[in-house]
Amino acid sequence: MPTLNHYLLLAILLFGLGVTGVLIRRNALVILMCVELMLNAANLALVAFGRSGGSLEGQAFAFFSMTVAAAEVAVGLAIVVLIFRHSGSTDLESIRLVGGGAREEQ
Amino acid sequence: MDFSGLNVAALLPELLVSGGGLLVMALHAAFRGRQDRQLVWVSLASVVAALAFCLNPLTVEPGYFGSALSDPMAFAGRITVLAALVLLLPGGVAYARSRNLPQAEYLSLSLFAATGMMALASAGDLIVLFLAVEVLSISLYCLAGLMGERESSRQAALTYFLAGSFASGFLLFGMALLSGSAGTLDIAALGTGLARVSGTGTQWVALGGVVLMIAGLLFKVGAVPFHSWVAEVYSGSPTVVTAFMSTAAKAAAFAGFGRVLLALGSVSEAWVPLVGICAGATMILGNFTALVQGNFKRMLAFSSVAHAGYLLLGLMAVGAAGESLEAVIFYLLPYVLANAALFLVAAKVSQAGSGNYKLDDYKGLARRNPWLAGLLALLLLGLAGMPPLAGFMGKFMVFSAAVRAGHTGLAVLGILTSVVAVFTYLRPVVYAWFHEPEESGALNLDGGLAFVVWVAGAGLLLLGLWPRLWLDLCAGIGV
Repeated sequence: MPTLNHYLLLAILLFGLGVTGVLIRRNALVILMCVELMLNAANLALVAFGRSGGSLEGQAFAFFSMTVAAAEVAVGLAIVVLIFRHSGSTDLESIRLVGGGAREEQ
Repeated sequence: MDFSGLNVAALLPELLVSGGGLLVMALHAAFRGRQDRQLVWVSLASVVAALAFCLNPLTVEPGYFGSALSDPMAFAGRITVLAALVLLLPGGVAYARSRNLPQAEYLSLSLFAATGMMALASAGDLIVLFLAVEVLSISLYCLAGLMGERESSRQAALTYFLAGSFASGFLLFGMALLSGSAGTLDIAALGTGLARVSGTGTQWVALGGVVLMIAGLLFKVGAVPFHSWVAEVYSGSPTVVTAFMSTAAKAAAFAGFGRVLLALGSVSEAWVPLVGICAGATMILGNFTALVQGNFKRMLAFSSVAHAGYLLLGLMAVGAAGESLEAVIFYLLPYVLANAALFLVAAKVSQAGSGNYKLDDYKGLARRNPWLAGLLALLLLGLAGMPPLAGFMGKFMVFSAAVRAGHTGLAVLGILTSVVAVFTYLRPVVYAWFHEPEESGALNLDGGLAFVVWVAGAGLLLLGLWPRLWLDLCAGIGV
């Protein structure tokens, strides 16, 4: 029978996986997925705490954070598409190379 | 079920501003963009209505069963954000028009971001806090990329998005651990919830949550060591958007941050060293990096990092020693007024000069427009903290609160780095008054910009001479 601690351990592992992914991967889309992993780790922790504490607050919070994550992904993908149209790549290193060292200012 | 705690009027300022944003979008669609010049008046009307409702007696009661607060912090945060909008929207629309940016999008996204900022300042529970942070962040990601034709604006949007959503992950996971182990979402009750689990294994989960949440918030306010995104985002975004990010968004983030730290005062030994190191590093790095910039926009960007360090120092005093948030509340308004006006002046001077925000554009400004050069000096010295301007009172209050809370070393560091800041801010002033102009011909301000600069200058003087005016107004609000 899994207890609260098991769920928390899984949430912490997922969160660590997400953080590691954001820090070591260089592709904007993969980073986006790793951020999603971090947010879902938080959702898992919220629901597990809510269930074990017998209150619905955690579940309600998880619904809000899912909605926010969807909005965030919509905007993030739009930005990535905009970049991809101009530079033909979603790789952070090559996007920066196209931009050159000195950036123009508005 | 008792509905007396559901005071919908508590959120009227936020509702009015977001309603204004929706109306701007609807009017833009209804007139197919032909009447976009009038939209700025619709936006300003909603902002002024929201300002009026901040003082409404119904709005100064807490609402939504304690989720939306109405205390001095919420009032000050709302007024500061709305003041920034009043100063920035007319100039922002003129900027957008001259560079062919979509005006309706600029206005509605600014109003949506402002809704999030105001809600952040008045958040009573963690769900509202998280939603408010996200509403303001997502709107600002779009605003940063508004100039999508430009490489730098696209880069700024991507960098801001990646850094911001990474920070949101930390914030949310920290909130989950903290609220779960404290057994409450109510920010004010977090302290008692934590006291109940102290000494058990759950305590470590809660402390981990506190650290993650503070890391997320430090990321959002651009403090060292989470400041790497600031330079690229602030210099790449359209200038009026940068102005909005570094004034209103930062003020709101500090209001929310202050509320969280105030509630976590009972576990202050866990986070005071952490925040203290970050505050010291932020003051040093922000001020010295600003000092060596040859670009006015970047200089303002790094000086706003430095100001984040002073504000963190003010927040440390709050959580640790039961000081009130008064010093932080006071610091924010003059900072926002001066910075908003300076960014608009920067856009104007740069457009008339190199187009590159070079400091050289300010050479001989006094010959070309003595009033503008005088007000520029006033605003910059106000930021530097020269008496009798309001920046001095703000710094004085923050440093004395820090000394009372026992952080004397950091207060001394703050005073020393303020001296460095004076040199940073004096450089454009010296260029304006004691250098020969590279271009001749008067540099005339249009009516809107002149209004902004005069209002900001007068505000700095007024707040500096009568600081109690603003503090008493805030202290008289709500519970």
